[in-house]
Amino acid sequence: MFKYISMHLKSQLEYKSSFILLSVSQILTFLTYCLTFYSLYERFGAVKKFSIYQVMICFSIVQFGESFSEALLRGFDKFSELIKSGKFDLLLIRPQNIYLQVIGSKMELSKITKSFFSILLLIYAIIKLKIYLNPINLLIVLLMLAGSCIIFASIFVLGAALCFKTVEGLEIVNIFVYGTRDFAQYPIGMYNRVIQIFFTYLIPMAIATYFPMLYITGQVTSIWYAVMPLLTLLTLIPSCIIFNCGVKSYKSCGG
Amino acid sequence: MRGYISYFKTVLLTNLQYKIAALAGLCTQFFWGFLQIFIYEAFYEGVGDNAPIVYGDLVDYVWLQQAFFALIYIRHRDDELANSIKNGQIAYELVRPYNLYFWWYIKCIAKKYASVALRFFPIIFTALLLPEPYNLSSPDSLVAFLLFLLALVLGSLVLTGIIVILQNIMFFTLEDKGINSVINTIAELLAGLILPIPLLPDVLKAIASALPFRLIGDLSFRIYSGNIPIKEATINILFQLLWICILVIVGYLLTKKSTKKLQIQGG
Repeated sequence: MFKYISMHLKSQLEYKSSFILLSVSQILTFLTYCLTFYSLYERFGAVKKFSIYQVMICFSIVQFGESFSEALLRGFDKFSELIKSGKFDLLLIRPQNIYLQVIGSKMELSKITKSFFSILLLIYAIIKLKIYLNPINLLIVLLMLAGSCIIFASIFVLGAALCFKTVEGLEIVNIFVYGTRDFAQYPIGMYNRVIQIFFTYLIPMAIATYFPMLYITGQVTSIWYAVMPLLTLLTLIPSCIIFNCGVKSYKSCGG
Repeated sequence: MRGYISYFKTVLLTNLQYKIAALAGLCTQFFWGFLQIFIYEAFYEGVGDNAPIVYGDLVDYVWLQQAFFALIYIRHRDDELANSIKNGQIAYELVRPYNLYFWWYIKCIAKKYASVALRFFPIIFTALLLPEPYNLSSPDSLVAFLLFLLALVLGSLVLTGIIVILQNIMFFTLEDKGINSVINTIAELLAGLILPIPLLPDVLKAIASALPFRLIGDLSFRIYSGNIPIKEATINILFQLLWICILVIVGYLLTKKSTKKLQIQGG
């Protein structure tokens, strides 16, 4: 795994100026997103009962999950390319775990810059909210970060699994990825009922961001909210089952 | 001139073939429309009145933006052009007895109109029929509507002018990711694509008003809903004409310069 990462890092750093510029544009995109909610808050004050720092927590957790998963799981995100070119056949004959190989086939490490900035923003929000970072709170924050990554990972794997059927990548998968990112970066509680249910039960991003956020900011006291990110692991199950089925019934189509 | 017109027709007709892609695009557009409206709804709740743009106008803004997305989107990827620079195909474009700048300009704008032609109607139609707070309302007045149409068309000319200039950068860098994506991000912000210009912080509003990006879509959408009154709209339309001239001249000269220096890559 680490060998793959260092390999990709080395190869991408060969194009230095391009890598730097891509990273800069990642940072810029990140800043424009921050600016969006900052401007809205500046104009409107608090939204429902959420302060801007609570938005920052949700926002940074989601952004971290999205950028980190996208950086490492680019192979799943661009899985249709593997199928179309026939390179997937090559992976199947190697005596190595297929997931690891797909991950290793492509990475987009300039996205990590965004993850890094997300962490900075998260720390800033935690300081501003005067949350005392005892080991338990720290653990919860780490769980939130991991949970967010896991949910995006599930979406990417599921999207890749669909490619076995469709060959061509589906735009609908992008809607899920970017939609989850852009919806869930605000506390889910500020939306209407339908959206809340969607992001709690269907794409359960709220359990990695919103509910534990309520706990660490002291708006709810039940510890149940804090351990919710663990449940994100469940989302991996259907994704992996479908992907495995896809691998089993895979017929090569490239040359 | 006839050559350019028939080229416009050819590209338009070719791109009208991508109906399934348009359908997928439609879903995306609806999704983003609702997403933005829900976010604004949460923010507008309770405040409403002292906002620089009223909620109803904002909803109109969002739907128009989604319907005419192709005419306002700056991130225009022409993989064909990028590849033709890398693999040397560009040589064929250079031997044609037409001016390369206008050739590209026409190609770009024809693609955009094809894409809009396939998408705008279902979005507008559905948005008009949606229940009360989420729907696209009718234009502020007949004059506003006509000015909206004019500003939208002129806006697409501004946009194409900008895109062709950005494409020229590819001649120097041979790749379209790095620098272009930095410029695009800034341009999107100043064009009101990320947040409508009235909602931006005052500093950015001032910067945006001095640059052409807001003339692409922001202007026409706000004319439609009456957020920009008729008189101000007319002045802004003159600005559009001015910027179209500037962009075309700059783009023309830049293309001339970059094609002179061009080395054909590959064979």
